Amino acid sequence: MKLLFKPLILAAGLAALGTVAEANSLRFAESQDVASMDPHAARDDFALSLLCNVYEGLVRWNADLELEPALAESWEVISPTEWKFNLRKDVTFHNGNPFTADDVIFSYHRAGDTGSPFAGLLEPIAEVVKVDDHTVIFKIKRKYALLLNDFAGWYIMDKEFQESIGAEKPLDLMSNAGGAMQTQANGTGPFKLMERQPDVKTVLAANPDWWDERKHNLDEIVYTPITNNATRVAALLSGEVDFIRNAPPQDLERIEATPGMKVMRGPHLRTIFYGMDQQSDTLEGSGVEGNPLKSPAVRQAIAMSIDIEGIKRSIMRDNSNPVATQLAPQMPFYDASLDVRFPYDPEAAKALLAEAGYAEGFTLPITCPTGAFINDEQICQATAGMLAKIGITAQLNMVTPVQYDAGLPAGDFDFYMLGWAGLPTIDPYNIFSATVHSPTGDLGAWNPNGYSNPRVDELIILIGEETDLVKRQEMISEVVKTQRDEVGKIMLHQQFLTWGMTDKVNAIVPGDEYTRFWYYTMN
Amino acid sequence: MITLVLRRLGSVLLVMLVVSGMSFLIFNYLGDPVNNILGVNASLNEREELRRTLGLDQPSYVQFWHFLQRAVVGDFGISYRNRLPVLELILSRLPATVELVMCATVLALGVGIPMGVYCALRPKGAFSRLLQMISLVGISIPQFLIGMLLILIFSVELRWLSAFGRGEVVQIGWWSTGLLTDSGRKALIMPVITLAVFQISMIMRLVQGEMQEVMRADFIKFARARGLTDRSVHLRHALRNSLLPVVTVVGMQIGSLIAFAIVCEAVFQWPGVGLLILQAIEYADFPVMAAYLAMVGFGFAMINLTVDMIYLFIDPRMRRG
Repeated sequence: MKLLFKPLILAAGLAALGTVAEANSLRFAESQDVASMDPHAARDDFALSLLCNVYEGLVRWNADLELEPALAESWEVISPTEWKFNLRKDVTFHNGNPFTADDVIFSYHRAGDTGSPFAGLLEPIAEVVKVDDHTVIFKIKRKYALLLNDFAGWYIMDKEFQESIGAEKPLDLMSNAGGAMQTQANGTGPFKLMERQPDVKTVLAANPDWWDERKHNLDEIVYTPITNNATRVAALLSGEVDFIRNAPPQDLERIEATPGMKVMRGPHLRTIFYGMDQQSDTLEGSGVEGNPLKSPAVRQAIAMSIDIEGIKRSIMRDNSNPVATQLAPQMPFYDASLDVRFPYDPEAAKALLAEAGYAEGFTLPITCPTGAFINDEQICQATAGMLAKIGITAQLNMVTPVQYDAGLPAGDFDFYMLGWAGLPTIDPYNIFSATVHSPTGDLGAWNPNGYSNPRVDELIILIGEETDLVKRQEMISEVVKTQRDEVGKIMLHQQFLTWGMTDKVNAIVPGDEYTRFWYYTMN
Repeated sequence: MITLVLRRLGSVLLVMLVVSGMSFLIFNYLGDPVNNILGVNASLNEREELRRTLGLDQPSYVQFWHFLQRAVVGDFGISYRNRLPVLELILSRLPATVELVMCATVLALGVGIPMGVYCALRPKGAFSRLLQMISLVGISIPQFLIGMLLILIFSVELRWLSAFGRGEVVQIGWWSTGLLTDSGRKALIMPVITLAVFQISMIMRLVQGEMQEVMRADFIKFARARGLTDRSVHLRHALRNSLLPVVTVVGMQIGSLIAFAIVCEAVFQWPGVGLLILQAIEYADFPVMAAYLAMVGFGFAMINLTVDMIYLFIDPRMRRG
């Protein structure tokens, strides 16, 4: 008896020791590294989706993508152009410095001054006034509906620390002033930067002095960029990493079939569509007179030729949701009654084309990015096949994402695939102002020569200003309906997020793709 | 000999100028880094503004001129993607690549030459045929596939080796090395094999072909007639005279591997210059690409120079010319 028990007790004791000693380290791999630890250096959702764990704004998005107080405890609208924010008092930065109104004002100037990538985001603000150490008033230039949304993407930095390392301005790409932010960070968030080797490894540790109640149980996050998709999946399968965001679609089955692995899915806010030149008088290379894309009937015919369920089934492997409007169902002010697609009906589409005077069809140049959206190439190829059935000859032009990002706003493409998620604002205004409003210097950057309707343009401006929720809903629905009925875009689907991880990890998969690690736990 | 070196150095400069000049022409077609820096939400006005600040609105030759002006004082600008000075960035990545390529070359020479000698001496033997078949596979199989197969076997299935990265590295001055730690040495295994497979096959075939040629030469017959041992005939006379083309080719290979071990580095997430340039291309990180291509031009020209020098030592006849 004695002989039997001793080793058992010993084993139990060792096991207990083991669990105590083992820290929860979340090893996380992603296709690229963040450009810098500076949250004002690039208005880039990829960087911010990681940096949100280190830095915080006055408000933040919670797990259900609702705004909640963060560094500001509360706020009140004093007048349509004056907002008062009461700052949280018990907050310290990672270096121990207290968080005060001076840091807010400093961060406003750092991010908002001319030349900073965030100047556009903070443009509505005229002035920030300090009332006392924990109260500030934002004076804004005009009535503005999205101040809080914008603030969720604007992170607060420590004035004293930034000045001490010579990074009181975001990195200047010409002079390298502020270059220290490549490897340093001092925020107020739930995790603090411990180690950083650009392109190799970034280590975050839980911040024990975080002001908020700690719900996560992570001690450490080790973030490794792994560029190659296959290697990244191999690293997950071999147990070298615990978590990869955006698992490649072709590997989902493999991951799910591996014991101890899972794929967590969630709807993305991004909807995918085709945009097109509806302004030019001719469509180069079309082989017909004039620009067929100017005619709403032709656009509708193209929309009706696309078998979106087929794309969902055979290309997206059910990881998509066909939509009729640019607002994903998870987007605020989504109106389900408008989300009705043109039916898939090639015969009717052909008839529409004939009515519009294109019975013989025409040639359509389609520009498609390779790797900007999930399965973008395959979807474009499938579209070409479907268009052939109604007599339109598609000419596919595949471009790399970086060529695409340059060419699209420049108006180089006649018919192109595009996806828009409305980030970081998470409001229809963001989608409309970038992709629906007629192009001006400030608006409509992603709608070159595209859909244009003066009434819609007028409504979009009002939607940016209107704070009354009922009125906003009416105007947003009118824009959505008008654009849908006039076939301003040819809508495809909403993408799903597919995140691969080991069973040990409990993640949340929010529609904006941000990794909010303070909601994660590990078993 | 001095004139030879000087003349070569002159052409080095010319090569660098042409290569970096051409890179600026290519940038026009490569895309635009502005979107990556400002994010998708930037307005057209903001984009224009940044383009002006970075000088991207200027014609290629003006951009090239600005680049040259700064480059002569050693300032290659700031990387758009990594937000670090370009020269510092490239130099910090170079050790990883050099170490990888050197290990692969040593392995390739160590395995390839004996295999080549063996096949040259017994061209009809069964083992020679097997080696030749293997080398054919080694030459034709893409690097990407070798790398992925190794990862599948040794990382995913056996879990012996890490699928990515360099392991722990030790910093010696500005040089970083993985050779001094266990995890660093283990991390080298798969990338080195991946890179060496092609080289082994190539060196083997080269040595075999050359040596068979040399073995038929008169001086080998005379050597035998003098009663020298097989060993001496094969290794001191035949092999030594077969190595000239091998040195040339291996020299060029080392150069192109250091410059463009892109596939291997991408597969194993090896933090060297190949991966850096791949990501720079994807990001339209022009300062990195311009500086890198100029440096590659420089490197190749230098390697050519070195190879010429080595000729002089291997083949005394060339010293007179």
